Amino acid sequence: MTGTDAIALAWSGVRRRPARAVLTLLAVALAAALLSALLTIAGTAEARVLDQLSKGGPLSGVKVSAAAPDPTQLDQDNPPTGEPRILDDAAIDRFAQLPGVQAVFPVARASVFVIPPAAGGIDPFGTAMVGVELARPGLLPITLLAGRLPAGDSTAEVAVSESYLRHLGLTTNDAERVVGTEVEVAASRRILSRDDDGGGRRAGIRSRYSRYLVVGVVAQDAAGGDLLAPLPVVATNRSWTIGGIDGGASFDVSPSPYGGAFVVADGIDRVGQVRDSITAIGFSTSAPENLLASVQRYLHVVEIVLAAVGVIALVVSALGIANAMLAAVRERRREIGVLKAIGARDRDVLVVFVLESSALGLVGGCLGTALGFVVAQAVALVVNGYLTDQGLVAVALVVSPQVIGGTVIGATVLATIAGALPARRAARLPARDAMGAL
Amino acid sequence: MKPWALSLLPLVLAACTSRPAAQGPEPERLGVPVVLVTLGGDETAGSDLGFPEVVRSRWPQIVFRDALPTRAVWVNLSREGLLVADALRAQADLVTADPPTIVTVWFGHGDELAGTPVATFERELRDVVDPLVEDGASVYVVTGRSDLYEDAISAVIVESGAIAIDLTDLPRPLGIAGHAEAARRVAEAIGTVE
Repeated sequence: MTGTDAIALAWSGVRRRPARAVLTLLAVALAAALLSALLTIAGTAEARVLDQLSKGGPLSGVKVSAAAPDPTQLDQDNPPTGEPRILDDAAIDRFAQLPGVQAVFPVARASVFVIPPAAGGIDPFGTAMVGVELARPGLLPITLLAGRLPAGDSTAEVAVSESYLRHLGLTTNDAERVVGTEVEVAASRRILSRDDDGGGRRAGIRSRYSRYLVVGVVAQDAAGGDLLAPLPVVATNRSWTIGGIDGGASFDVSPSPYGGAFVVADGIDRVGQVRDSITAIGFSTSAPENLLASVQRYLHVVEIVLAAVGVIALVVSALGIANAMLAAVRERRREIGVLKAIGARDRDVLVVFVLESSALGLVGGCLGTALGFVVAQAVALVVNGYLTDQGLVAVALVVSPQVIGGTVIGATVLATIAGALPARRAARLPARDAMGAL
Repeated sequence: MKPWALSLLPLVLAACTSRPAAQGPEPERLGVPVVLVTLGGDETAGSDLGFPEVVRSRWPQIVFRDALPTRAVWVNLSREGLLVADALRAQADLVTADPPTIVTVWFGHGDELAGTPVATFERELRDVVDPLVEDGASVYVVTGRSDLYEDAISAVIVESGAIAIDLTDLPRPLGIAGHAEAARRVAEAIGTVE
């Protein structure tokens, strides 16, 4: 039997039971799609995570407090702080010059009085307004629940935290409702009035009021405050308060220009070094080093489970091919008998059935790989939309030639192996037994 | 591929199932600063209102909230019992604040009670108003609230180039309705601020 004859016979076998062939093809295609989609998404996630971990980002951040370190608690992720210290621009500059530091974000804090809209029936309340440079939000540990972050150069925009929602009697499910509303804020200072010179009357308070458009809701309580704003906005409110006769002490405003700083290391492997350097300068730090290590261990378990899912899908598809080929052998005993009666050797019959299963694997692998990329692309679109909404950089889908080749070849090889046993059974079928089916 | 990269897949997939966050409002248009400064005594401080009405319903609060753009700032230098003589010291607080662009001045009743002579009142009011006008602020001075100082206030307005806001017919004390009406008239005098 020539190769052309074998191909023609295999093709006629596929055409004889089109529904079964299509279902078998579908099983292979779906398994291949699952495999290629998993690998493509994982590859893209890897690129994203590598970018975060190896090149710096929120996970590589070290929080610095305006306080001295507590020498007895240095090994903790979030140690208690020592005595308060002044954290000023000079200290920020020193942090920025440390080896392994990618960026430094000073964090300012102002005590303010929030006047909610009268319609809500909520009484005014005191809280903190936290300011940070928002030009590079991707490096900051901020997660948006709704809306967006304030523009870095805006003087009239804030994001609010979950604690602000709680003050208004709302939950995170209501986050969208506060986006687009206004919040009125007063920064106050104690003053020395004419009467304090000896008149016996009490000193007064003067306030500077400002209004802000709420453009977003963030998940974290912003350094213990309800409002997150660009750094200059908070600095202005803070400077008003510390201009009072008591330097802002009545309003719990620290004399330190910055209440803290967020230092981004070049990579997660540099976090420990950066923490040590900042501690040596004399400031208390915290970073989720131990937490990250624990999370990575747990994620390894998830990885094993996912790999198992992919393997199970492939095995199921292989079993489907074997089952289909066994059924084909059983139904085509007549054909096998006739082939053997006219002189076909066992090897010829084996080749016909192996070709048939291999063809199903090849076509299914190609279709499945294409489908997998479509799925991965759809996932990437949704994920990118989410990342963009969060103020983060979108990721590009990583299309790997190894994934394409590996999936197609893998599906073909697996189908060939799955079809080998039924093909061997067909090849060994004695001619007289096969003819007996007539 | 690094093993942990694959392990992050559930996070990515979880992100796919999240409700997409809405886009926030358009960025607030940056414009020239608008700084409202209020100088005055009981009427401006809202001494006749309790809490929390005082931070919602006093007339300067309404003007600030409803008549000015979001980027506006209000520096409240008013205080219960503040006399015109105190206003000069109160203005020292402007040194650490933004330069005022709109200033309201409402004195008279407290000085009447304190027995400030008319000539002294006029001189001190002029000392308050003139530098503000010279610095380019739009200064609005309330009239019609003090029979004793009415002529003095009018003279300062005319000589300084400040703008008069007549609130003669409003109740004393103002009450919530009076504050609302005062806010309406002040806003009307200020006009549209872009």
